[in-house]
Amino acid sequence: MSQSVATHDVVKENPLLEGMQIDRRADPFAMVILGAHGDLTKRKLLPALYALYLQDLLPKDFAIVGLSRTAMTDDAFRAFMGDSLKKYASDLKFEQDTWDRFAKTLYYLPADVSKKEDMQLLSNKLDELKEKHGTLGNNIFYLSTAPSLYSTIVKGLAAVGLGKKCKSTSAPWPRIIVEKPFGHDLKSSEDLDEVIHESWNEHQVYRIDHYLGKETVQNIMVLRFANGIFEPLWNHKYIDHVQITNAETLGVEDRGPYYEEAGALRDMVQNHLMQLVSLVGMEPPISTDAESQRDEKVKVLRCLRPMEKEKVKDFVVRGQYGPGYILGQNVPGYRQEDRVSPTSNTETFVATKLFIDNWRWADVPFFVRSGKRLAKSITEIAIQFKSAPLRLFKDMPGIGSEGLNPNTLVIQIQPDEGISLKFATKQPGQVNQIRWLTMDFKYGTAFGVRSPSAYERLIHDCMLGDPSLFSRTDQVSVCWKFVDPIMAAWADENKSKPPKFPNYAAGSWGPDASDELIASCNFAWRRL
Amino acid sequence: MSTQTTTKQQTTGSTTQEFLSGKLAQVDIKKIEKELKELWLSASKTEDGVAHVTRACVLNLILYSDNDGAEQSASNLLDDIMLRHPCRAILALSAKTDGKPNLEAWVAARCHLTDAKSMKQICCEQITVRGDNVNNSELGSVVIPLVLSDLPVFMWWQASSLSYDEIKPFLGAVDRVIVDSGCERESLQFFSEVLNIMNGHKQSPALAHALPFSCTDLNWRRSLPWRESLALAFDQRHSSLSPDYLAGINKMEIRYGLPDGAKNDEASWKGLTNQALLIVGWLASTLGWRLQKAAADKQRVDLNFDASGAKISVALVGVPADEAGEGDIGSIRINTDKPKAVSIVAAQQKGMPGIDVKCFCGALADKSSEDSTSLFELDEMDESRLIDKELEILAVEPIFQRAVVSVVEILKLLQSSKK
Repeated sequence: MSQSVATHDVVKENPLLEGMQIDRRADPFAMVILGAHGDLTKRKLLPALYALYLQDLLPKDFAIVGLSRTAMTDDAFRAFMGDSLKKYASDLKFEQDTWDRFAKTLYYLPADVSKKEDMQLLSNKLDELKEKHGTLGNNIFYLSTAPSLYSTIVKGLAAVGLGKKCKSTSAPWPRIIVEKPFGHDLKSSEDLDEVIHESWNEHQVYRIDHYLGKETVQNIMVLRFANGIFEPLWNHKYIDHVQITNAETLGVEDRGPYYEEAGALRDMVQNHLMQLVSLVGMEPPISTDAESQRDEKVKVLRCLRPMEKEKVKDFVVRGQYGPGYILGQNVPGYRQEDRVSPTSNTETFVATKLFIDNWRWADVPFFVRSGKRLAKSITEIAIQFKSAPLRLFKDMPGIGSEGLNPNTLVIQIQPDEGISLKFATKQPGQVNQIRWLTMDFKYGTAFGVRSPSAYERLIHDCMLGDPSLFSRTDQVSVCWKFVDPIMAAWADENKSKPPKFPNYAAGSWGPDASDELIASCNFAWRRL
Repeated sequence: MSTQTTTKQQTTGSTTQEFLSGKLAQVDIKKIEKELKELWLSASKTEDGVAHVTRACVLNLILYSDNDGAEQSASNLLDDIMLRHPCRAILALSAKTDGKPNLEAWVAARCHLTDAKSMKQICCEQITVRGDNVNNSELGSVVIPLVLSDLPVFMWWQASSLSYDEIKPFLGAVDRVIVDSGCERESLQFFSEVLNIMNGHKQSPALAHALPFSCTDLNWRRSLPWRESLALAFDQRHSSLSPDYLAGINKMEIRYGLPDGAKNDEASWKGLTNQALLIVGWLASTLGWRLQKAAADKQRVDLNFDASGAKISVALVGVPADEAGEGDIGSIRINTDKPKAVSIVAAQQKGMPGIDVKCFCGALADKSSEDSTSLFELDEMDESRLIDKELEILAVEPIFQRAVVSVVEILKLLQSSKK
């Protein structure tokens, strides 16, 4: 259950509700996971559903149907999911009795989503579960398949009457969750949207970007708009630049074919990192409702300075890892990875310099980088403030001619979710010497409770019909509009003057060009 | 007589491991902070140079008690509380003995592992201050300086009785006082003191606060699932009844639990109606019911209210222990006659977690019309969750205050009706 305090209007109608936190319990529902045999289901989706079950956040009546082409019985699926849970969700308490009760709600349907008769079987199954589990005909379809199947699935669901437009107040309600990527460029995303909107209204569509479900990402809004001290400084007058880093030590693992098509720009920047840019850059929404928040996010993304194809190289750096060492292990280069072309030009690293052309952010550069096989796994947003205007302490030991370091506010997204603020202080002693210290807040330390996983939060929100943390269609489009010219420029370059890949060693911080990009503005990447 | 302050008997340096393991280390009452600081400093030093101990604190919790054994019961509860609310816990223990006035203090860390892999420990601290034969002004003079500034201060009053004068020495440092009428037999005195605390605080310029001061009752929190179920029973988003039915309420019966083998005398049920009274006080103050008559007979309390000319009769009926826990609510029945005759029954089977709310067409007595709708179930909170919830709130609760005013009015009329 999530809670909200009864509003003035509600209290006026029913005075007994004054001061009460009204529980929002989800309606009974059936969730169909399409692509249930995939990695996402066993690593994330099922653990998230089980965690919600343990916290009593699922309604009394629900059922989950796994669907994929692999032949499997209900019992085999239950056993497979039970094993996966033990393997991938070690933070969840696994008790056989509880699991057995939960597992009774799990079903499996071997089906080919391109065959109408198979989709009819799904429809029949949902009718059966409506009776057996009291799901009231409320259905959530979770698209966790290869993105190339999305259109087929959406059409297939519509053909058997499972996908249909309804009002936001209708019951029963069908909803659809679409995993990223939403298309591979602006046109394909618009094409996909057109197919989706033939049988679904926008309020029924939940485009999931799991970054938005992370506790620290949600905390950006709270940090900015619930505190009085940051917002007055949150503009070009006081902020020097912003650095957003997403670094992974992992390579492409077993996702070679997917990554070959996607690359770092589509896989991370177009969605996750753009979400972070919008949260840092947005104006205060007029209220906390879903549309007000999403309006502001879209508004700031529309202000991103468009990149002309010819100027892409001045603003974007791409890279690909070669062999190297990660945590003492010798690891192969990208071109040596399983099911990756030995001559691949797919980027595993992107660094870019963005500008938000509006009143608040005029001429404040946002440096965004994302890469695989980097030295350390870390995702953070660093707000670097301008230095003090007068170099009063320039003669102190340890202070160079450049003066003092700037204050930095760091929002750490993973690991160790938290916030830290760097500031100067006098070192104790007879000599006046300045030391830089950080004030740290760590979620895990300050709040002993386990934070819900991003998927837990997002699936729960979908159950409740709250789309605040999901991407709206115009938000997806505006992000594609921004990255399309970059992809086009790279495609041209691949033909005329292919990049010299690999250009960074696994275990480093990316190609030299990335350092040069930020140095061109007289800054340097933070040492993480 | 001057108060002795016992000095510690061993140096803290040798007790770092004991300190981290949760064992109480006696410290000099005048140097509590200094000795704590040394213990933390010593605990943070490791051979590998990596700090494995993180000290965390998001609030202050002062637990005041004058009961024997309070330390042990608090100890068990604090382990649970600190997991979710890292805090500085200050146990202020007041004792009456045959000896001289004496003040002593102990400190201990309470740690839990963040994860087995890193072996990092998140630690909170507990300071126990025991005052033998000292008044609360003296005890308060030791306790208040121990409060960590800029963090909210909760005071859980676990003394055998509640008195504004007793609690006053601490109020200047406290943001929220938590009391429990569930343990209190002298209801009128108790709730009057709650009002005194709330009003006295308002009137005292010396107690001006940056944060709004509030006082709350764990029994009020216990009654929340019942209040929620009644509120939602008249909410069309959750049931078939609209709020219009609230104006038609004419009869209510609340059944509360008696102790095992309760006799039919007042002593056996005194104080056990507190939770039920809070619910009545809440309804009366919210819906504008004016108290007309109050009478108690054996294990039953009868109240009559008037609301814009409409008569409402309320009965609090004691039921055996197998129907409801001592002082707990077993069921609430409400009859309304406008716009239509409808009865609502909210009931909890003893030992079951939820409250089942049903709506019957027609009067309750008319059992033949079994056209009932099971509306919803609500979960009940255990002791640990009650405290958890309280530590999440700092806001003033005017609804509670209004309910207490109403409860005091009922209790006063009950008392005068006995004379």
